[in-house]
Amino acid sequence: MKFLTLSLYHPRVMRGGAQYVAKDLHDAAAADPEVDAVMLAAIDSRMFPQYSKTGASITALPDTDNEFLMPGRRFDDFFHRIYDPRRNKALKRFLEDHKPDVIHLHHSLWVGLEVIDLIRNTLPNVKIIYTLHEYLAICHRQGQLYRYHEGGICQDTRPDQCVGCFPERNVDEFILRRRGFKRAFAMVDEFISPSQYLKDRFVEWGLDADKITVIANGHHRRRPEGWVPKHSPELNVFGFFGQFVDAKGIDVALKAARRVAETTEREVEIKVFGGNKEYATKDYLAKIEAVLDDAPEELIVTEVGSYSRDNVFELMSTVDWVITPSIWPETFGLVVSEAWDARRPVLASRAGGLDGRIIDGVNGFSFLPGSDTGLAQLMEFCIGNAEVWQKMAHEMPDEITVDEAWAAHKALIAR
Amino acid sequence: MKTTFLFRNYAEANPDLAELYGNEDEAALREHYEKYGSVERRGVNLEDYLRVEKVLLSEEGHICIAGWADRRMAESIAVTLVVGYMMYEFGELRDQFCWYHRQDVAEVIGDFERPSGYLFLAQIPDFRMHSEVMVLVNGKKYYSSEAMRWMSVQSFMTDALATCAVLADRPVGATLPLTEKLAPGFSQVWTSYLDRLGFSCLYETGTDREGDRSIIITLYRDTSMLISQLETLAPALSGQPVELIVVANEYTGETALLAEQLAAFSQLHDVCLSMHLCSGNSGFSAGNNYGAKIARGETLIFMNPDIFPPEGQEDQAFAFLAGDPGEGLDGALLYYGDGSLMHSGMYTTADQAVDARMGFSQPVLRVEHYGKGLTAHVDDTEAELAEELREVPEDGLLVTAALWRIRKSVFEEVGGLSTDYIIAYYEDADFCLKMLEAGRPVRLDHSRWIHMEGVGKPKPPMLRTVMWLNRALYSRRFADSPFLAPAATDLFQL
Repeated sequence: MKFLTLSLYHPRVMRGGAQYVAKDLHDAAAADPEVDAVMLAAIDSRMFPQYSKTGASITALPDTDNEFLMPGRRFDDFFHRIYDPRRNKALKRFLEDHKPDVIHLHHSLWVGLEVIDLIRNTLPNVKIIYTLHEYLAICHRQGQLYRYHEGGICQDTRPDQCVGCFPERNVDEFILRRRGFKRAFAMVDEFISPSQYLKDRFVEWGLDADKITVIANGHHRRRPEGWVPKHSPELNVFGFFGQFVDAKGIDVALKAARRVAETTEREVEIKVFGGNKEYATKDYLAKIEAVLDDAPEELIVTEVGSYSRDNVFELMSTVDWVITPSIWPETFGLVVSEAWDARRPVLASRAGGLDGRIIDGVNGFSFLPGSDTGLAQLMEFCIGNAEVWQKMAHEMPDEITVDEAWAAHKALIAR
Repeated sequence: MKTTFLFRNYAEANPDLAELYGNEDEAALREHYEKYGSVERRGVNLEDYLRVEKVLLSEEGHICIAGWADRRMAESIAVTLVVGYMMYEFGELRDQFCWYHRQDVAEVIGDFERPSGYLFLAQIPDFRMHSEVMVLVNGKKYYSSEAMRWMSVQSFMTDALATCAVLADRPVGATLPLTEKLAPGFSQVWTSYLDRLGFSCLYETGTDREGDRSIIITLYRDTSMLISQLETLAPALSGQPVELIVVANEYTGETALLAEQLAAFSQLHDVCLSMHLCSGNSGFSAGNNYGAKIARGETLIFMNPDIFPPEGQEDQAFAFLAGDPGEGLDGALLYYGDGSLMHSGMYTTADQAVDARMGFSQPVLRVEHYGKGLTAHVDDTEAELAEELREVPEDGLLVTAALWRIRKSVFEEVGGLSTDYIIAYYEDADFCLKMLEAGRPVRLDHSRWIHMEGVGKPKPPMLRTVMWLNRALYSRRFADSPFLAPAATDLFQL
């Protein structure tokens, strides 16, 4: 089987959850003796000119056998299309040369929805599968389904509601945007959703439930065989791992920690491993500053900086509990898989895909999104609670591996 | 009561008279005053009673002046324009001025009876541009420039139209007759603007294909919906004997990018497509007329850039594109983006425009859509639709040009869309009435389409004046049409 992965970015160009998932699956496919795997990653050539060659719409990624880049010059980030004749010509030829049996699309960003037309025109019988990594088709607000102007998860995604987030646009534009996605998605054979929540939202939006299969994102285990989890003496070290941006709820975690430190007078330590702080809004950063203003000395906050999946296991081992306080409906929550790998119970908000994954008392605890009081209660319960920690650290199941995820994909392809 | 003529003051203030009559000839001075001096308002500071608030001048000698005057002190106004070595005298202007009531002025000057605001629009024949310009009103300099920045005809037209929005924004009854003062001037400007416009082909593909029908889409500036529209129309275009002609008025985006997008679209869909850019804004009529002129199809389909086949009902919509309108004109059912009914035919009816203070009463026409805003939905069954359309008559109906189907020969015989209407509005109703008056059928096809007309946005001042002028023109043309809907239709039918 010839298997083409068409992704947004490549981890070597820019790291990110969707590109890791795409690359991991490509690698698993490439390692499969029954599969001839090719990867083509769409990128923004203006952001990464070092990967762009003048006049070439598709170029090889150095030192790889079957991995290619497709630098784009422009992208309509509302309708998610490109319509570049040079790229069309190159991609058509690429498809004709490689003749894949299956094409796995991982995104519409910088890929462009019209690529699905082109694929169907060029290879009418190819099987197209599409992994829904986020809610971009439903939500123009970075696909987050979060209403920043209201401070809550968006539960009603009808076009008139979208104007609330984008008052400069009109309802018709959102109707057309939805129509454009649906028109393209009608040409897709199978969708994959990393969580039941994301599937449910897309079914509610209009996709056929029978065409969406839930397959969790596979995880590369970093935990050595026989490794024994350990905790700090006081079991009072909490870690945040993720992007330092508004919707991740760092302020919720800090407020909760401050509340615990103030009410119990026990020491609480928060380690923030957060990247992309430059993308946080000024208001959000000010909000965090305000939380820490005149904080009690029992609250110890350390901003460690960003991390990668190469060192996340070691870093997670330096905390007792991992907090995922997201206020937007996470589609999956890769950090949860990483925490379980490091045998760290997760205190997660019940936001989106996180909700279905956390089983209270088994692999962590959950609280209402945005509720610092709810999280504070959990933190208070967890601090020093060795019995609960030990039970969970030793008994919690791991997320499926990348190989298991690939096997699930193969089963879907064969269906 | 004793009345005294202060002849010494009069002589002192008017040295030319003192030289003639001396300071002591009371009788001669009084006679002069009564005959000339009081009429000429000698001794009056004119600026206290006559103001020029705006002067617009175009490179082709169009002039627009706006301001106010106390009519008791400035009964007549003489405008003179000095441009370099040429002096253009309009002489005393009474009828040419468009006078209207201004409350703000009336409160200052104390005259609530006579209109005090004025607008003046004219064109100087055989005009010569120069750097030095002076505008004199009643002999007094009101405007001058030593390095005149002349407006292009387009910017003059835009600014002059915007200046007149002060009238367009009032109830039509209060201002309708005033259009007669301004319409000839604007018509001149509009015609001279249209004359200088041209069209360039930006992109074309598949034009060697034989086709019997042409879809013409005329858009203004905004191409944001174009690719979406083409995508949804693609099944009806791909490999079909249909050409699609897009005419863009005043496109301000990147032309190279637009051409690339169209080329990329053509790679994915086997279409016959061309796009033509107008050098300015030729308006709805001239844009569509141009599309019709270059169309190769026997049947023309005029389509707005925000018309889409309904999702899941494309086939019935595309059937409209394939049908033959015969000797008539066909429109279609149009629904808003949310699926509710927007158009199921139109009628035109007359109201009486009355302004008791100005002393006039005359008919003004209005165009209404049947069924607009009803709960009818694009997904309704045929039976539900039949019930919803029960009050829509088959005869004497008008249909919106947002979507039309007509044979090219018929379109040309009727004379195309009238370019007398500035930019847009009322030209489609005009065309429908001409069709009806010529005994040709105008029909509503029951195919359903989406018209992404969206929520109305505030219209800019110039466009409000355009609507006002066009409505007045439409009213003048068709006030006596036998196809006006009776009052009962207007009051009770929907």
